Amino acid sequence: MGRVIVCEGNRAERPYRFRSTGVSVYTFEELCYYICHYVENIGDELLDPAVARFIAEDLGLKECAAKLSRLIDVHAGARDAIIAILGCADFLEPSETARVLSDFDMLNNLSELQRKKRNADKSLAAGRNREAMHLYRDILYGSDNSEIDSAEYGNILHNMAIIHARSGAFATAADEFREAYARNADERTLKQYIYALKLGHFDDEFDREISALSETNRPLLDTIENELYYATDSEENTYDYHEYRKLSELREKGRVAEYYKMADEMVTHLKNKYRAENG
Amino acid sequence: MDEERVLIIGFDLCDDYSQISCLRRKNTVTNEEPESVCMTPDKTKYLLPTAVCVRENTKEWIIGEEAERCRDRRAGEYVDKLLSRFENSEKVTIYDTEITADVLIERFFRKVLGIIRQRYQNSSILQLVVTVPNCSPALEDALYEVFSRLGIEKDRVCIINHTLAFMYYVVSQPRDQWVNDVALFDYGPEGLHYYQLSFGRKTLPNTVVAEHIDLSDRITYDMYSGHMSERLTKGFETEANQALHKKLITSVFVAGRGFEGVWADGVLRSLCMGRRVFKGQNLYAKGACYAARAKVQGGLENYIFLPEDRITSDISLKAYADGKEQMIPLANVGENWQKAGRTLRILLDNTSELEFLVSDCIRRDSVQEIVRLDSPVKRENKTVRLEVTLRFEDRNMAIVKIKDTGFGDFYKTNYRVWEQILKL
Repeated sequence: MGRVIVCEGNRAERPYRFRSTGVSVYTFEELCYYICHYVENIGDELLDPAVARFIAEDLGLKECAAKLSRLIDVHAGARDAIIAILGCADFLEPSETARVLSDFDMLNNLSELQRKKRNADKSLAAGRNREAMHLYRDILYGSDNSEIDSAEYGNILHNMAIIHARSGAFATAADEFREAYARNADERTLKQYIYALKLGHFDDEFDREISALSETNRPLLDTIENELYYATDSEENTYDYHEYRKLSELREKGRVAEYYKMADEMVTHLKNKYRAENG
Repeated sequence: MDEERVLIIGFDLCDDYSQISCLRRKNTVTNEEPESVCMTPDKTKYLLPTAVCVRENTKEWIIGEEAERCRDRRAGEYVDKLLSRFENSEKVTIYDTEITADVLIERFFRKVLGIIRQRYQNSSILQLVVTVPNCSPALEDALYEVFSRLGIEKDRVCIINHTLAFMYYVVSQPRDQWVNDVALFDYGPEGLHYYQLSFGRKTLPNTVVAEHIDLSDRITYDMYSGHMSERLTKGFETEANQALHKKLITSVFVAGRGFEGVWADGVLRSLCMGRRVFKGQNLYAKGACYAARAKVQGGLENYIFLPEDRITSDISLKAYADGKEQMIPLANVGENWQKAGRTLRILLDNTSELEFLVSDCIRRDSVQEIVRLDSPVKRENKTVRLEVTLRFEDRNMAIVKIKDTGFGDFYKTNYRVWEQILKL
């Protein structure tokens, strides 16, 4: 059942900017939203007296600020600060606040490396491929990678391979998927490896792997064949495929000037698309 | 200190003439009737010109008959119509000095109130109510500013319009004069106006509601000042009978300078069939004095007064605040419609509807009004933040305006705006 929530306090003339993330908040609800969505970045910054001052003076919520100040005085932790602030707001239901605290507890128990991987995975999911790749490399090749076990190493390699596949570097992607599978023994990685071979037109290797699968893992092979059939069928109905077919026909008919003009346009379009997706 | 402040004053401030009515409080409660204050030795002359004069030789500021004599002798600079000059923020030049209208009216009040205090053994003012024909929020604020300069702050002074003063006058009369509705014909420089007071007595608090009909296009002041007696009499008779036709009216009051003389007496006698008719000039001043008395000692708490500029409905929005679902007030009965209304910031939580409740204090019913936001912004839940503003176009028309404000740096506004009229 829906509801309308009355916003509390004032809108600040100047926002509070969190140093750890660079995110600015102008109102109490935005502060609560920030806590919910950036819970992995909530550290001691929430216990900075400047936050309490912002809540009191800029947002006009003196009672809430006083609660936070008392926690600061007794050197309480970030968890207590989250409870104090979210408890002053109508923004979250109690169950939602419990979930935020649960996430906070979980993240608090993560190692530094686990935190980094979580951030990298979030960047990958958001399409920030360059940022994600930078973080994955930092994890795998950084000085403090001794705690990564083989399976985790494989999972990270898998994600890096995805980034390479998205950019069309199918050879690199295939190599990474293969090494990743050797480490994590995950069927999903094996499947992606086979797709990378297909997309890269590595036909001999592709046929070899398919043949091996027919002996060792029939169900997976059936899944791959169905998905490839569906993907091929869908691809032929996309705008890009139609453009590609037109281009091929122009070349076959010897209409050179039109062929080069269309090719230039398609390349420009693909470049712009790549830039938009990869920041 | 309160024990020294005993004067309760009603001040009827009009553009041409002012009238004053006064009470002196003894002990904690007074049931005395207000007495009209004359500024001249002639006790029949209650009308005080709303004017000041500056003597040429002494530069002394004077008022009343003295000022008129000074003007007639050309012995000073005379400035009248102080109220309209004040409303229009005019400036005048008196002996090469430019003076603003607020200073003129401040001088006027200073002189008048000083004379009143002297009359009452230098007593201080306990409560002052000033009544004006039409009270806009701007005029109200400007008058409060003037009184503040005179050392009378808002706890001791109140500005009301003539209709509200008339309401206080009526409810302070014996009950048999307002068993049913009460009518008022006001005839002055603004022409003829009709007011009818209705009383809602079924529940507490009782409501006193005024309806107003502007008859000034049919009966103008020119007809009185131009001595068109016969035409005026016939015209008034027609309008009066029409206004009172099939209405249950206990008393009829007539006020205003246009009713001076005998031209209306015949019509007024005809209106006496089954009604009481009262003719007088000091109705508003006395009403203001009754209002001042009520502020000091109470006695009228069981009444809500709703002159024509006051809204007659509570309007609220159903929303979640302070840990619970509740009706958040946006406008309250009795507020001046020009000032009523409020702006609220809200968040949508899995909904695209706003539910308003309009509760009419006269009909004693409540109506739910749903505002559906067509094509609301598609964003993450609880990030659609809206600014909801209620305003009034007049006493009977409320408009709610809803604006998307975005959600800080997380989501920019798309400038979407919705507006809906609420039925009152």
